[in-house]
Amino acid sequence: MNVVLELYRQDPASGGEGEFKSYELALEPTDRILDGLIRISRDMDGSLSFRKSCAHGVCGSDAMRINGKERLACKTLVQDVAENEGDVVRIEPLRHMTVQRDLMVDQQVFFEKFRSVKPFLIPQDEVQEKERIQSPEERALFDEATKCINCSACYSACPVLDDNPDFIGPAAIVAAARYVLRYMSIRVNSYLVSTAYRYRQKLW
Amino acid sequence: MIYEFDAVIVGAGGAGLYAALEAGRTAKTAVISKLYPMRSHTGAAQGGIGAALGNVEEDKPEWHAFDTVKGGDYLVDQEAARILAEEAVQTVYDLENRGLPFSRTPEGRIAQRRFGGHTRNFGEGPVHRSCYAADRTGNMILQTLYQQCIKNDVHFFDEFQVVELLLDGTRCTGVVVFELKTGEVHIFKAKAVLFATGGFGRMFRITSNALANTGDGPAVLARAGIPLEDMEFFQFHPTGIKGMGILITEGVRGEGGILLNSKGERFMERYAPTMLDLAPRDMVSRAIMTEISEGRGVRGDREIDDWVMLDASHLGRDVVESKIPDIADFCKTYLALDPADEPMPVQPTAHYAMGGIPTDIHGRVDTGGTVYEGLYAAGECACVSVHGANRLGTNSLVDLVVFGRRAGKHIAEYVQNVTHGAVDEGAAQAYAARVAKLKTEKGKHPGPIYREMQSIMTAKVGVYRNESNMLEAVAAIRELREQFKDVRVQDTADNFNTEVLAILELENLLDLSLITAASAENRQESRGAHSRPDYPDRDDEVWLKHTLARLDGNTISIDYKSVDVSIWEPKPRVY
Repeated sequence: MNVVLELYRQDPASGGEGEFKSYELALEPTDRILDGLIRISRDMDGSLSFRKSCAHGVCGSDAMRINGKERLACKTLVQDVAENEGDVVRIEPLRHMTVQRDLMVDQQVFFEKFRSVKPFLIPQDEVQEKERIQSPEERALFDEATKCINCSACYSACPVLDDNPDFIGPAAIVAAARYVLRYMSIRVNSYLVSTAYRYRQKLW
Repeated sequence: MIYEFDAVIVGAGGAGLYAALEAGRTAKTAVISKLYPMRSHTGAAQGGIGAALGNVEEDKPEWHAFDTVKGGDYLVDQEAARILAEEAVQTVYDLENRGLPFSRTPEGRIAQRRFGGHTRNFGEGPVHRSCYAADRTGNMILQTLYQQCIKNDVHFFDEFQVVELLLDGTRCTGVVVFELKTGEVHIFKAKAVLFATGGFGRMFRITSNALANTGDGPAVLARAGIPLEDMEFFQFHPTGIKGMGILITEGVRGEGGILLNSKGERFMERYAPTMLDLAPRDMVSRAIMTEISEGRGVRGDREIDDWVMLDASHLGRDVVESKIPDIADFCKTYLALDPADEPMPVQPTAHYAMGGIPTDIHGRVDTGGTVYEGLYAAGECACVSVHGANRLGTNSLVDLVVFGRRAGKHIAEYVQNVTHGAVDEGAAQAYAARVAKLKTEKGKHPGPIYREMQSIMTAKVGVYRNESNMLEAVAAIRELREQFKDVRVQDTADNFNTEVLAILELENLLDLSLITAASAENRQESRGAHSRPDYPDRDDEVWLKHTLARLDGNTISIDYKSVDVSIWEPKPRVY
């Protein structure tokens, strides 16, 4: 089907303001939006800039706003956002970070905040055996928090950041929560664990 | 700019990060990556990391080493395989101790599952050896190592692309690097440089590899005159999502999933009576392509893009959702199906390069006669060789951490005792002029060359290859390399010029495609992943040797390096 990808274009280095530019191309309903962007950059307009890598939702490179919602371009199929021949799909860069060029934003601030929560294991105890012993139930407690791929889509969508740019953002909180929950699981403090569990439910 | 470090690590996947942690103990270390943190393709590894912990049943590193040698169809260097299997155990414990969230057994130990080609007692039957974190083990390794790098203040240069190697004779003195943000070309002077740039599956049309897997390290070294080892051995993983190539982990079969042809037959019974669906990947991929060529693919038209089905629906929803949740998610996103209810359409997908930069067991680049001082490689871009003619599942992650760590340790020692070598500081300017030329003239878009290369490599240097196809591939790739000279960018900006980067990546893939096709055409036997209907048997008398292929303009010259068979005598490979 023919769709129109309406892409945000901007080169701040040359002082240019942002504008939308439309590209019409034939895509299968089951193609990824990312496939469309790659086609444009390789065959139609080489100056289009965006990030990409694994192309199946694991590496977190290609988060952008597609029809107003934060999504990964590689996990969004054409049929998810366009129904009819000639439909327009509007694609914009993430918010709360500076546009570097087109759909690329400066994620440095996002990673600095991630690093600021010390997102690593600070051992509270000596490992008694070869590995730490941890029950499947304890492991399950922080499972959700291990799934974040730091794509920074949440940082763009977060309404708190609209008013308070110093807020560290959801991803950094998740990274911190992961280790907080892990320590709790080691200490098996049932009250804290259940509180943390309820907190986690709210967070997601 | 001219930067100066003791050690420069190129690539921020598992091997690079582990090496950086080790090297950084004594050396002033920089990690250069063309991607942002945690985007590297180690993060896409799913099923697990093999180590004989024996948490579920009896297991021994010796069995793991033997399986690795046999799985590699005896082209494996056996001492290296012994080190791989023995050091895997401690390395997995180290990762766990640093916070890697492995799945757990009911007793609270690291969980282990079955995986292809991993056996108990030298081939008696499948063994639980793969240590896993659901189906995102690689992602957990990448995250854990990156977290440790934050803890240890490792210096990162994100979105810097290495474009040239600086050599003083056979001594490495640094690298030339293109910075995406500014378009500037820099010199990084270093006493030691480790390449850990990953794979190059993007030379094929159907691949599980990331768009970034363009073989930058091996290509840069090849253009510097260093031969690449065993490039004809490229692994086709049996189960990629039809048409897309996205990986469906072998862990699905490890948990009990089975392959079915259009008649509903469990066809692996005919090809590997003992290991069945858990035979090594080369055998399963050949079995699938044979079923397809005999008309038992789902479509039944005998074309190479036909497919078979992978059924996990009998495992039950609990197992699917707890053991392979990402697979379920991929199937829902890309195929609109639920693997707990119905089978998945799969076909072989280009997955892993067994060959690459020749190294010794310390990660030093070693071409069999020459050791390049201060030059190292580890991970998929390297060839130690622990995978030989066919890598076993889970051994890629083992290779990364074991040999990334070894190389890092060696670098930490090495840089203590040497000074910086001489570099040609004009190299940056010369490269910048090359990039400028891409912008000043009008030329072609890279798209058609990219697609043509991928189609040729998939059709002619795929699971099965024969003489005439490979000769055609060599000629066609040569022609594409000529056409490439006319490719120019449309984007003339300096900042964030991703088009320049894409063209440099295409150049790397074209170079490696030529080396791969020519190495494959040269090897007149079938061994592991290199299957030739015109030479159907393994020929140890003539071909029990590693290929070394050197790129010189548009021609490839071939030499050889002996295989270490000091532990187990080569035997026929039956499963």
